Amino acid sequence: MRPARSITLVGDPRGHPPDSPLPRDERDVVWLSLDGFPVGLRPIHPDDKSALIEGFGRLSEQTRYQRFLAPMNSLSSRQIRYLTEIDHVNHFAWVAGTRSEDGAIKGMGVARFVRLAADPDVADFAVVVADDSQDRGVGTLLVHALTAVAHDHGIVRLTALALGENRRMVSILERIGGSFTPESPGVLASQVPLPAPIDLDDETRDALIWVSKIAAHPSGR
Amino acid sequence: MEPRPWHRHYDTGVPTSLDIPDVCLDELLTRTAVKRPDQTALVFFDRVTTFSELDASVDRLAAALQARGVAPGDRVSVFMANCPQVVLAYEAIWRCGAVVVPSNPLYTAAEFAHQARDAGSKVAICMSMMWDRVQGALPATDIERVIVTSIKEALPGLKRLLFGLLKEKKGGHRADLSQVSNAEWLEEVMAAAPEKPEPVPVRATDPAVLMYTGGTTGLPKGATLSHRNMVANSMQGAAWSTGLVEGAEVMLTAIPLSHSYGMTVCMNHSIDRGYSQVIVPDARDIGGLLGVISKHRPTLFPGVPALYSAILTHPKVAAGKVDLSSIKQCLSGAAGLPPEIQRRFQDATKGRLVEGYGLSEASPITHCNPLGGEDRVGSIGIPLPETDCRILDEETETTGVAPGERGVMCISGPQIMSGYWKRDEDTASSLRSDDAGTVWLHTGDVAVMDEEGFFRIVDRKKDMILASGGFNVYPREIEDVLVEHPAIIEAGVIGVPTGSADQRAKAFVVLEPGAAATADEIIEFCRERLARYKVPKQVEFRDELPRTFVGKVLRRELAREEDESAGG
Repeated sequence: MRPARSITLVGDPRGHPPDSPLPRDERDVVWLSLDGFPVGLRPIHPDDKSALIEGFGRLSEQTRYQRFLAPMNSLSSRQIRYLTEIDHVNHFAWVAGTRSEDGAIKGMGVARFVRLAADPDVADFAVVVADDSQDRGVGTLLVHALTAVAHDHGIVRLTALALGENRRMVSILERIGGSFTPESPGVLASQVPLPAPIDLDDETRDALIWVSKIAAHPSGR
Repeated sequence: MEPRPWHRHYDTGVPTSLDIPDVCLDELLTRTAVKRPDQTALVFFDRVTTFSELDASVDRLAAALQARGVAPGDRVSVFMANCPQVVLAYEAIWRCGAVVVPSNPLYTAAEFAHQARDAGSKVAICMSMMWDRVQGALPATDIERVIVTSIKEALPGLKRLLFGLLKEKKGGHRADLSQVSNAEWLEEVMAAAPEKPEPVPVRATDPAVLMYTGGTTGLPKGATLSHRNMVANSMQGAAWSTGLVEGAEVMLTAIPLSHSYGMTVCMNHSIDRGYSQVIVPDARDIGGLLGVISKHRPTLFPGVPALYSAILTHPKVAAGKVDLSSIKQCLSGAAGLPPEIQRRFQDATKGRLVEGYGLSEASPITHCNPLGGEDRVGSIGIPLPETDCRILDEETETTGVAPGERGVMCISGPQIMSGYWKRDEDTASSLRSDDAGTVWLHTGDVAVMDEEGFFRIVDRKKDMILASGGFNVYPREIEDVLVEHPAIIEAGVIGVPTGSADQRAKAFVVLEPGAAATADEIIEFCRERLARYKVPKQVEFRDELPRTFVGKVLRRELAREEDESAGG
């Protein structure tokens, strides 16, 4: 098994005043150091559409297949709206990014949960990490951040589907206490009771939850 | 409980352990050619080749391949239906120390190209009827030279003449190589070759075959099988088949030699034991197959359930007009053997038909029911000599489960591959070492072992359709082709039952807004890009595919809806 990653909070957005002139990209980001590498997390926003399309374009066929369990050449405009125009209460998503050498923010991955209409205590979740950011702990970080918010939102159980051959995802699910049942050939259904074991310190978790609440109730800021 | 309860169920005379000789595959041929030079090695439409003749031809072709730059470790693609030249090609490639990359004869140009490119083949040997496909694939591969052979080169004189007159052009067997600088006819290559190749250093642990197998992780990947893997599996099979007489049996080679099943169970086994192989080019021609059985009286007939079933339902067999009584032993693989077919086939032949289990990654056989002892209906049998098997928990695949409980079947033994060709990640996920350092193949099949060590497959973790003919079809491969169609934006493929042991592929597609396509067009589109057995038989149009809230396609839901509509 992979050694535990070191995750420390390096940029806490709670210090920014509500009327901060900083661009939103700066304001709502929780900056973390992941084994010394800077990774920012913030809730997804409707303005992220073009970034989402760009990021999807960078995914390999295999990564897309693992995310959607079907081959996907593109996202439809309806799918893009669904994935970005969300209420952050019943549907929440983190985007992870880093600053590239030219100073621009480069997306690394997305994790989201959607509450089940039939059982609002339960949410289904998914995570995707761009191919060139895989194997660095970004997926694990996103999932930990997601379980923290889901638990804070009163969700008691997360569910996820994963290809049995997707060892990365299966191992993340194992580490957060997921159990598995076969869903369909090649696909496992996992159930994760919340709160899940989490690799984040309290301060980091509080910062993440604070940002998630701002996203859900922007006017309350 | 005892560690290997299955050993108690071995037939008398079957050893629990074996000494695997440290030899390469082509040495099996040389040894038999010395021991039984005049024994019939191959029979093909009445044309007989002895072991010494075969060995001499292998020397010549190996020398010719060396002259064309084939060195130890090089990969050579072989794209042929069953015929004596397949045996010749495989053995000659091995004699050069090179690696055989067999392609299913039903493959399209694109499928062949993927394999040859992935393997890095530099030479290809193909049948004339595959030449068009090979030629189409060449630009996408590293293949520098092609050796082409016509099926007629293996026919006896009169049949050869008639074939040339009647069937060659119509059957797509004619190839014109006159304008091509890098392709040659096998006959001419052989005629001009030195008698003996240069000896090359090859170890038994060197790769002998890249056996391509599909998966949910996209395009097929090559299971790297060493000489030792394949020699071991041939010996394991031979040890299982007690009561056979060395040098005296007749093997019916009807299953494709392009798969390790035919390669090991029919070819290598026969060559090692000095059995004659009667080679059947197309087992789907049941009338022709029955003629071969009547004439050559095979004693061994490995197959797949669909083949045995097709024989039983042939009008001549149903009417009792074909004498099948020469057949003594049959091993059925690739899919579960329905008890009814087993019973009826055993009645018709008075021989024994047992179910076994294997996979490309295991050269391929790992389990078989005892030929002499108890037969457990619905079981794949017990592990072969030198083969260990355990069932691990489905969640983590690390902890053994109790007999009677389901879990993932993991296998270790000398027949297990060394890994997937150039796919370290897939290798690491399939081959895992335990604390004692033993390497286990995690099959992805969910099985149950009973108290006595018989195994039963209950589920497949891999997403796979068992198509007719015993072929495995991976929905992912079909879906990837479907979304290449300009009108299709989304596709999901499931296996639907056919009423027999097989399944067929059904595609659910979502069209681009404003685009149009018919089911026939889409099927035709697939036919141009996929081998026949992979082409979906049905296409259903949907406005959207069933998905989870986070957007994952629910195949289970497609299968459930299909079940409901089939059930009325």
